[in-house]
Amino acid sequence: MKDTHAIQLQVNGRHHELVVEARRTLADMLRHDLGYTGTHLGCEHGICGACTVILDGSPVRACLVFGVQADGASVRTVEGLAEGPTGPLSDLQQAFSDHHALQCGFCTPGFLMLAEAYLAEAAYLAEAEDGHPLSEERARELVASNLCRCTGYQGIIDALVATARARQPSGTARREPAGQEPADDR
Amino acid sequence: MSAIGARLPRKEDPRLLRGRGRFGDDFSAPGQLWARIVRSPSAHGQVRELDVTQAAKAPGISAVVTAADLPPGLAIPVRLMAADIDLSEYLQPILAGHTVRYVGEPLAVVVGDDPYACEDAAELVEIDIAEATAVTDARTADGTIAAELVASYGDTDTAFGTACHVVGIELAIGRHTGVPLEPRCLVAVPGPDTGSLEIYGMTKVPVWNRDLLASMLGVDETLIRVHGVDAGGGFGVRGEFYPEDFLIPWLAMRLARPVKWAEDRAEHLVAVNHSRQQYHRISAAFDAEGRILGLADDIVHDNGAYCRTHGVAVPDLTVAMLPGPYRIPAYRGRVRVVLTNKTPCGTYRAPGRFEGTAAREHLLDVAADRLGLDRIALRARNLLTRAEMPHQRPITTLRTEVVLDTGDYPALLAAAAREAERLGYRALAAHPGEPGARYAPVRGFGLAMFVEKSGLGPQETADVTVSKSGAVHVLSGGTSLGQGIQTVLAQIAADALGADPGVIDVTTGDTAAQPFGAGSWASRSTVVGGSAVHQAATAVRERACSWPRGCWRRPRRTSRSATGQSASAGTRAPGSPWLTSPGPPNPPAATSAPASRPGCRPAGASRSPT
Repeated sequence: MKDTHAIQLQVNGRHHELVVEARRTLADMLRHDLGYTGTHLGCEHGICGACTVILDGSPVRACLVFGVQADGASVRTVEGLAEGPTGPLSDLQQAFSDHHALQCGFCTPGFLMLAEAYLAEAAYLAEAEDGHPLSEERARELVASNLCRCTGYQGIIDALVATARARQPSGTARREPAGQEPADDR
Repeated sequence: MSAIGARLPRKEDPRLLRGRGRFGDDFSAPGQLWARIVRSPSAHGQVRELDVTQAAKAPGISAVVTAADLPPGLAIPVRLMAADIDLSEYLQPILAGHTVRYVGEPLAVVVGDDPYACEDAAELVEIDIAEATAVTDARTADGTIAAELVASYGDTDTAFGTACHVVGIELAIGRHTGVPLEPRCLVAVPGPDTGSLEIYGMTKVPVWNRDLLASMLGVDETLIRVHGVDAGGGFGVRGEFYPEDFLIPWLAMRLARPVKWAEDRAEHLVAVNHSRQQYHRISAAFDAEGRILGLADDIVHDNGAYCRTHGVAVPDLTVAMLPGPYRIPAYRGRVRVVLTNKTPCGTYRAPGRFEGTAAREHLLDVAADRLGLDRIALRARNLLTRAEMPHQRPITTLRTEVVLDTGDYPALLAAAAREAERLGYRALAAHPGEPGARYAPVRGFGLAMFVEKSGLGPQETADVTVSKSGAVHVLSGGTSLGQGIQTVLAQIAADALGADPGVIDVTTGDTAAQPFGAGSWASRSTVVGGSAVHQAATAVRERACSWPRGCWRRPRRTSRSATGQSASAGTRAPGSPWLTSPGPPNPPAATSAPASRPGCRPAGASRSPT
């Protein structure tokens, strides 16, 4: 007999109800039961961070969380960053493209969700409010949480810092000039 | 302005950033089964018993297969023939039968409805192995020598015999492997009517893999279609033909169900090709001024348990590329390829060059110190100069002559040294570090010269078509390893057509689209694959331009692309909405974007050399 549980959760604002085995990871549940295949599995033991999603506001390794633990929770995945599947990319996604912060793109959803969660954290927002947006040094510490095999991380750091400055609420920091046409979505 | 070299948004970015890429594990098929590989826990031994009874009875399990269930005599052949050396004795079987030779060697496959259930059942397979001594050091006499390769020219005996200085070192290079962030994955979907097989997850050399799979399955190769997928990094290891590349399609055909296998990281580390483990005894002979008279290296290459698809390509590249950018009058490199009880080896990023460069450059550092010369000065003294290019060495690798075709190595070295000074590297290396710092850094200043090869042949294929809407389609035999090939090939096609890269879509890795494609490896796709695309696109442009006046009219809108190029009507094929017959004579060459279409002239006009 499988140990199954009926759960419900919100993913990117959509309501889902499903029955999952107690041991099923949140990552497998998102990918294979609910079809959110943008969450990637690189190591399945919490090292690489490719499966990072935002669970009730906190970045988590979806491979280290069971699906049942998300019962009643709100989950945000990479599919929830842009305005719908064909709408404009978010500022963070656009910054990743502008700064060549991805190559093969497999780790990218994890970095995006990690950064998105960090830039929304109360502690960070308070610092930013005081005129201390994300420094390059702090961005380096942040991305040390995840692994990328292609970029050497510099582009990711640049994208994070640029996004943080552009989101700066006080108006002391200007948005980085994009320097490019919007990405072609063809 | 050409699209080549232009700063463009990558075509891959939007889908990858949205989480809408299509990697192997993103594909599933209705009625799909999952597979789990049972691997040897022993490095070497005789299989006394492999009891799958309990595993087969586990809930949700459809089949458990062992070597006894497979067609007899299957082994994975060598793809890259480096030398005429028979390696047939050392090829890897699909599943180990009586003998296991490395930890991780596939022994059985469990197939069932759910990957969790398969993993449980795999642990119920009873494995009884009589352990034998494992060879773990290739330098001992216990390992089998699968091949011995020598690359040699000039009189090394005289060079060493008459030298003022001889400097020798021993160097061990550890095992590495590629570790792409995406583990491997395969989905094989059998067609119910025709015996066809759709495969997702293969990349790198899909046509070669398709042909090999067809011959192993005993089916016509056109029944198998390998689809292009996104890939989370290749690094040499992904996309070679491994035991799973036979097992998963074979199980799908045998069970008449789609079968999926998603490798986990733990098995990836023992299953995919390892690389680079070598032992070098390298020495160089110098004259009184530090000029190299001769170079000799005796190498032991630990190839692991079998010879896989790369055969002896890595040791072959090691000895052939070892002299690097230097003037070496006499050279003798010998490499013995030894089999040990470890994961078998293949290529990983700059195969052979990494190893040979590490040994040679380390030797030069030691030699400079012993001769009392500056490390940069010693290198500068021995570098081939621009006047000596092209420089042919009387040795071959991968059956190709070793020719250093172009380059200015002394200028490169000088530029690197200047840049190191500008960045203050020497001062930084001399600095003892902050007192009371959390870490006490040990700093040094290192410098090495590296010669890379690229553009390996022999061929690549491409089709360029223009559809009725005016969109351009590039079909390339190159494949995606996550390197951004779609963007690059679109740029190249755009250059040849004088078109906007935005209207060009690129399909790679699909064996139905490019049944004679060679694939992506050895830094070849931009050079070889890109050249094929450029030729195909140029032929399309010339054909379009040769079309009689009156067949064309201007597009309703001329869109401006990110590069500032005009989308040119000249790239529209006859039959497009811009085609009118008869219509106002309005050839696009004269009206839309003449500057970007230098080769376009009226049919029959003579061509001037460009």
